[in-house]
Amino acid sequence: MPSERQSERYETLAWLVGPKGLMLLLFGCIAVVYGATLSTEVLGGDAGEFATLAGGPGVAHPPGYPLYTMLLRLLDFVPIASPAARASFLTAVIGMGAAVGLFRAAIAWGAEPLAAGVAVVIWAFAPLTWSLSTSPEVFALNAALCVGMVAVAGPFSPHRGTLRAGLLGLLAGLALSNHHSAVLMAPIGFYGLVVGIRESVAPLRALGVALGAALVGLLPYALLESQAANPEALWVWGDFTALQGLVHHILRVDFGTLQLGIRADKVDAWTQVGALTIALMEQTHWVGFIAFLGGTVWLLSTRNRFAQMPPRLAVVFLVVTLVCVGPLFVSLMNLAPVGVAARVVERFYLLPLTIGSVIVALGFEGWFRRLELRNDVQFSILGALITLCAAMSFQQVREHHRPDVSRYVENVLVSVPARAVIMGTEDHRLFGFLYHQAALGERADVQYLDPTMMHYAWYRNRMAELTGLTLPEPEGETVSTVAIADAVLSAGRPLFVTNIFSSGIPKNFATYPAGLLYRVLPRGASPPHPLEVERLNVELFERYWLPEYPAVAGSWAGLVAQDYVRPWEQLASAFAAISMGDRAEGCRHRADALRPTPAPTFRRRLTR
Amino acid sequence: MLEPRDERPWGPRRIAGAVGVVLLLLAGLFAVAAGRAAVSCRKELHAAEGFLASGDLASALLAARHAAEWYVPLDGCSEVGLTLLDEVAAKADATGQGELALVALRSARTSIMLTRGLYTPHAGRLPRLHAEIAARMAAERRLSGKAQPDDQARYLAQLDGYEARRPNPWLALAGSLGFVGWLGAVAGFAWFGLRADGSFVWKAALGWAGTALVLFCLWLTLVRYA
Repeated sequence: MPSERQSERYETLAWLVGPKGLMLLLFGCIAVVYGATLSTEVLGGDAGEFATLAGGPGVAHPPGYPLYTMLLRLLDFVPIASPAARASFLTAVIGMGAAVGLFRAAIAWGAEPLAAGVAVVIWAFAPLTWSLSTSPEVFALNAALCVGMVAVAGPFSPHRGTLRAGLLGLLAGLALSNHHSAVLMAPIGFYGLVVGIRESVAPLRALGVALGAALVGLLPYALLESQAANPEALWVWGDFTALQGLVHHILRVDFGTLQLGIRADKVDAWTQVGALTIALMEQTHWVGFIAFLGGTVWLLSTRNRFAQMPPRLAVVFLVVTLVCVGPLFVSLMNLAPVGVAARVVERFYLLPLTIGSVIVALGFEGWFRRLELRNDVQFSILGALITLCAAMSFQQVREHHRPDVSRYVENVLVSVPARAVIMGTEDHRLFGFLYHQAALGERADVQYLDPTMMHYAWYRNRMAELTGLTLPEPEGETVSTVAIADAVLSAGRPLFVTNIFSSGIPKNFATYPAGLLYRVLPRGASPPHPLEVERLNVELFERYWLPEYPAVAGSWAGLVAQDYVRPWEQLASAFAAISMGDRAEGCRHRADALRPTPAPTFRRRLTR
Repeated sequence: MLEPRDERPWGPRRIAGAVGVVLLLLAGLFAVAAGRAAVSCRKELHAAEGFLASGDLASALLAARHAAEWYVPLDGCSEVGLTLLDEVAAKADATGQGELALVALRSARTSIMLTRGLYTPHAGRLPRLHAEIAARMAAERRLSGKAQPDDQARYLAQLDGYEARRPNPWLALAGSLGFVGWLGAVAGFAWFGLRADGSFVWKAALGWAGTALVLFCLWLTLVRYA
């Protein structure tokens, strides 16, 4: 017979491997892994803009993402590491919230804790979820609020009647205050609303509460005008001096209300759907995808075979929602999933991955109900799965969080002379320089100017104020980069460009590669001899931070790596043209050492 | 009608328990993040000392800068990183690498600026750094032959301006708490102000709705002026 002490020990063990212990293991592991792998630097895409807004007031690009930017400010006051690290920390908290939401959604749709836990592990440690939950991006919050809607609308949800309708309204409003793609959750939202209204003894009142709650959830948009009016704002995208500006911003008129990006690639819907499907297979390491298929078939074909099965109508609405946030949404995207644009597009896969994970949980539930596993076996399964998924995804997260974009900006800022003006394009540069200069206060004497943004009056005014120059207005749809260069050079300021974004500057001015930039010389000046340019570049590269191992092509780091390769390739061509073969060969070797490696074969097939 | 999986009511005990679990998870996440910062700082510091000993100033600068960036309250590691940056600047000057010395000073300033919160860690170092950076930038302009008489003062004003420019952190914190409180009050209204049949618990509903309104106005006002 066991002693009292042994009994206590058994009880503790039983608690540890029971449902509560299972949850502790699950969410504890997510907290530890996310906390240990937070991105601490500014990354490509919009991450730089959000990291900046973690350091002070401001307004992000349309539609402004007011809920996320407000949440970012919550940690602005914690003096630890950098604003980028604090923004990542806050996003990790949100990512954990999304994991809890997914767990509750799976339970609310009929799964037991083990099946729900397995789905959460596969979801939380998918490289996409992990990367977007540990870097400054809005997608984890979008997933958290949308999966919250699925949880509240679930057939076994504890929230009934008016409370269900009101919570759905509030979550929908808050989700729209964060990301417009939440509108695609309408099928499951309306299903839950109708169920809530029917459960309520006062249906009209329930509807009124839901609408009122939705309006309350949309109130963070009022923040935009308030933030824009703050004289200390670090960055305000748009003009909020009139109500029209606020409407313009919320409707994303700058990008085209229903368009994803500012550029319009010709890409057919099936390519987008194919890319989504393959990505979801990869993200869930195939296991989740197979469970998803099993779950869908099980839910739609079986009726009342087991207790706690969701009604078929509810399942149909869940599947329709998944089709809306997944295949339907991606088929409308105007960016081809190739190269860095694929990194932009794949962030939108997080929502279908999250909603699909509820069905993944039900797929596992179908299997686990047949097995009747003991608690300690359940605990071991979950522990092993966490280890396996984390190990399989870690390398991709590490690659995603590479500091290359941040180091690129630092390299540029430490190498340019006083009062230099740098012209360049692309989001990673615009927001990278914004973070380093506006949030960190680096090189206040240097200005970065994006000519593609000069179409916007608010940006022209900002740049005119920062540079103290009279900058040219656009003529129709065209911004004259030559006129901007003339304005900068005539003021006696050193001018550099990060990349060749138009033919105007190389045609009208002499240029030569100066490290990661091109130096633009005043009209009539001649570039130095290639030997002199080589000496300058050797000096600059000695001071630069260089990546320890090559970046992968098609990533933001890979895009940045091209800028390190470029000067050596150009010098190689220049030396070859003047018959200095040895020098040319040396430069070619330097270029090859810095070149990004090709993307993995599977992904290459996908992107083609 | 399908039965809910979880019928326990959301009474004060359950809410307190849920808040406790959330705080515990947050504390765990924060502890891991702080631990990572402390470990990374020491790793960079070790590398910086190695580079400095071998005379590789450019690499030492980079590693020392990263060490200085990993600030954690009560951990002196990042301060050692700042001291190493000073050392790099001094050695660079001694070996005629003035540009590298300027980069080291700028790096020290940036490392301080990016760890600002309710207070600015190592703020006492900023005036000296600003003065040295401004003087060196003005000297750089003189060498290029484009100097203006007020260069140094202008650069110094630009550098100092960032400290004056920052929003009032306490007001901004109050605004943020107003935002969190607003969300909490809206949730309180939903849970305590409504019965399942859709009727209002008037006293609770008015209390929570009023609180939500006040906190919302507070939040919007403070983020505008903070």
